Amino acid sequence: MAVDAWCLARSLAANDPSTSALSAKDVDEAFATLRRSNCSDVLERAFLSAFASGVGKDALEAWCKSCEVPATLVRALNDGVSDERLDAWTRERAAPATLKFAEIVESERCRARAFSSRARSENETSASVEAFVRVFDAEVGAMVCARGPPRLSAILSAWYRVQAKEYDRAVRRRWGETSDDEENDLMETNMLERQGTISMDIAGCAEVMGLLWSAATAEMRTALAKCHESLGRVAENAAARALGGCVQQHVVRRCEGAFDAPKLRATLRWVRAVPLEFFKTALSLSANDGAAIDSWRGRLEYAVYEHLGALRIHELFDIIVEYPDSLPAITDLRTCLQNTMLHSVLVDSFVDATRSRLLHAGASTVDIVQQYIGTIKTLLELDPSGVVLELVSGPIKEYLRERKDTIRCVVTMLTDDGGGGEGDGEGALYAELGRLARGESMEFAESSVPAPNPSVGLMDADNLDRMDSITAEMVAIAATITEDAHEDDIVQTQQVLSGWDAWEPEPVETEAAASRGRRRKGGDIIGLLVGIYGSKELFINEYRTMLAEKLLAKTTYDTDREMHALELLKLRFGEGSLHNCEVMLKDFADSKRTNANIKVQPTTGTPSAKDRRANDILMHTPVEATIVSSMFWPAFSTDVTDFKLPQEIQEQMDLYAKRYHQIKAPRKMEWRPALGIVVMDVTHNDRTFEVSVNPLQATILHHFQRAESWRASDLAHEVGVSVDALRRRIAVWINHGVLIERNDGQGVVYALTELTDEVDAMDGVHNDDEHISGVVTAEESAAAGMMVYEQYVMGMLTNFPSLSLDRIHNMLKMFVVDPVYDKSIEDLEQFLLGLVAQDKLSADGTSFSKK
Amino acid sequence: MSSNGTSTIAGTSGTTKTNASDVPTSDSAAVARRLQSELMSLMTSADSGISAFPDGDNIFSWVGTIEGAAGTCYENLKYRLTLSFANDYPFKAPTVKFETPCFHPNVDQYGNICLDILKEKWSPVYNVRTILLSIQSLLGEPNNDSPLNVAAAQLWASPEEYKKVLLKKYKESSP
Repeated sequence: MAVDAWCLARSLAANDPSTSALSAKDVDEAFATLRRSNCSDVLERAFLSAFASGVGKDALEAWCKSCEVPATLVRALNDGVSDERLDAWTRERAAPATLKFAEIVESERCRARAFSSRARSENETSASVEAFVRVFDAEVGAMVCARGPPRLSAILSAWYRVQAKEYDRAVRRRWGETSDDEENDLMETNMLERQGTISMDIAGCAEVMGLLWSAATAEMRTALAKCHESLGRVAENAAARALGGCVQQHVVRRCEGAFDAPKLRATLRWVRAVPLEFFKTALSLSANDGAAIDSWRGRLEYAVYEHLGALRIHELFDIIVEYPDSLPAITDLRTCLQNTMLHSVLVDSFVDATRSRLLHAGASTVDIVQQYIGTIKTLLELDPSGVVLELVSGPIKEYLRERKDTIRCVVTMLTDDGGGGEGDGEGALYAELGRLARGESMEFAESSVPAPNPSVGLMDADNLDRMDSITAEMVAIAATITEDAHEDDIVQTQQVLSGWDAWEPEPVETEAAASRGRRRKGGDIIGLLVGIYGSKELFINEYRTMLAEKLLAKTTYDTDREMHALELLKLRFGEGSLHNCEVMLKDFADSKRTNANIKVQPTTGTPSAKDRRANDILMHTPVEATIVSSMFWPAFSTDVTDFKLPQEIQEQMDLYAKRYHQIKAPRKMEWRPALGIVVMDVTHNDRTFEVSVNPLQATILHHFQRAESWRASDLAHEVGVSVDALRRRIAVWINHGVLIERNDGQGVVYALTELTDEVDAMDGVHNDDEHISGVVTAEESAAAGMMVYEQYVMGMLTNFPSLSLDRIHNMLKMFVVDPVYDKSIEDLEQFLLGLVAQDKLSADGTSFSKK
Repeated sequence: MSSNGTSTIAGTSGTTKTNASDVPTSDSAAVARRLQSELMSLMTSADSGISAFPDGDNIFSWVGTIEGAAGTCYENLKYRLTLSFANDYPFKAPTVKFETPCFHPNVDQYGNICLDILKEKWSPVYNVRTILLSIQSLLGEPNNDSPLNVAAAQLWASPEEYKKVLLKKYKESSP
């Protein structure tokens, strides 16, 4: 009997089809027998082993088989990207199989419960039944864990992604967007931007997709959780992963490359409208689970900050290029940085981008300086403490130091008001100077941190950015206050909010920068640019040189612009350092007056009035002088200092100088004919044109009035310069097609062109003189400053076979007192290498010796 | 033709250089100053064939170089010397020695030089430059009456042989 009962119970445990034929009475009897034998534990074990080897095993195998990822889809699954076939596969095969498995487990659990309650005697409590169900659950967990589908999490996440995508599309359709989601249609963004608040028009899943759909979405997780709680967690994580992917995709699709509109707010709204709602449904969170919802919202919003931040950091270089059109993007990035710890990523990524895109030989210095200015402005917006800027600008500064024309470039940008209209960056610095003059501090934060303004409602769009960065609780508080509409409260709260929100802790990178004395006032772009070299003297010298060049190149006495620029620079650098430049401009103004005085008829009775001829000539002379105080002007350099001017011009100039002496006695005037400009009309071969050339060039052409052609050496002798200097100056006339260069076998001959000559020389001869300016550049004068020491170096190396750079430097420092040796070792090295290049010295690694 | 020439008016020239003859704080400081200015004049004078420079970080000991004057046996030969100045320079002559062995009637095997202006005829108006020039001319015109190197003095009469020995010795000394 007992054996029969046992057999019956066994087949019942195994859910044998034959048992269905048995009557309830037989079964009850059999169990009663068994209960009497106290074998309920053995029965339960039998049930479990029957499940494990029978129904459970089959179900698990079927599930695994359905969830076997086809080889073609493995890649898509691994990368977590959308793929139509993958979507279809998960939807049609994996998801139903999963649900099926969960269903089987559920029904088995019911059977287990029933079986157990039968096997136990009535006086045993239901606790032992529950205990058995737990054992059953553990068995299921073990089975799934050991032999469940290997990629369950990825598969589930793919499934959730499909669902979320569907939902996203539906929500957007509901918002009136008709385009397919693959297209970057700005309409949705605009739609989102139009909405006043975040909470507006957020509808639950059920509302959008229908109850059936949301029930189906919810079921996956519910069923899995029922099947086993670990599976529920797997589903939850899968959903989180899927939504994270969705957020990233959304951010990239909607925001990539679009810098001219704020994206963060819209994206955050989208997150609340779509992924968060979806989450609520998928995890069947009710309104009661406030804490859970908040935590999920926090996670999703963080994902937005992170993804948008990463995207913007990646694009930072382009954002800076488009500054200030890209201000909205900068504001977004700023908020993202406040909520994440991406500063170090930003520094690394931007330095890399700068190195590869800007700091190479192909980029012009103007571009680099402009990008640097943009970088300064942008990064100060991002991080007003200036720490990030300092870290990022290091490589740029370093690179700019290596460029020779950096100073010149910056000075040009400082003094040109962009009148030429060459690009928008030109004159940016001039405007900056002007701003400084008007006493405006550079308030970069203006745009992103609005000052407390009582008239602005708290939920005003301007403040929303900041609101987003505040925790959800604060939003809630603020919203309540708005509803209460106590005007005072609003203002107060707003001030509190902007007060603490405007304060920003310094980024972590502070550690790196803290040791260097930072905390400099940000925003002083000019200061930062001038700081590239560490001192303002270099800039002022270069400015002086350029001012001298500019003044000497003038054909009128009008210096309004220079005066204006100088006044602005004085405000920036102080009066003292620009004293020389002031004198230069004053010289110019004085020259104007003196020039006018010389050219008028002297008062009768004065000695000069008697010289009628001189008066006549002076009154009609085209000669105008710029009289400079050489002490205050930079050194003038030309390879030709003196030459023979044409007789008639020389005469007028002598008279001019004489009259100057008469007026300004005891001062005398000494002409520098090599500097200056001649504006002349050239008529040749029935062609007349006006040119501005230097006096030497004019003189050269003048001689061709006497003879059609000149041998180069004769002409050089006539003008009083070397043949080499002549050749360089004469190129301008060859380029103009006035003269032609021939070689008659005995030397070079210059001749006036004939009408029949083909004037194709335009591109033939390079006009070197373009680059010969009358003023020594700072670099040249530095080299000239070193020349004094050449003899010392030579003397040293005569007596010592070879000396190292250090040793030479030290000996110069020690023994040279007049003029005191004050150069840096780098200057010296440069100079010595120059001597090596001139073949005066030879260098052998570290030491120098005489040739 | 219109010309806009540019001229220069020198500003008030002749900046009065205050050559303050400050009292030397110590002898050696004054000597150092004198030597420094001697160095400067030596560097800017550019005499051919003579040169000197302080040795390392001590301005009281110099290294000099003399090239034999053209037309003498010593033409193209280069001799290194040391000059050491005492604290009472220029009232006492510096000690000058040949560093490169020099085959010469008035130079002994240790490089000591027999030259009147370095001994009894020294005067503070002499300086490094004049010393070096004197030694340079001594090379071509030895004083054979009081030789330190008798062999050289005897050989001087026959220039051909003198030069042969001189070159041989010079080659030995400068590998």
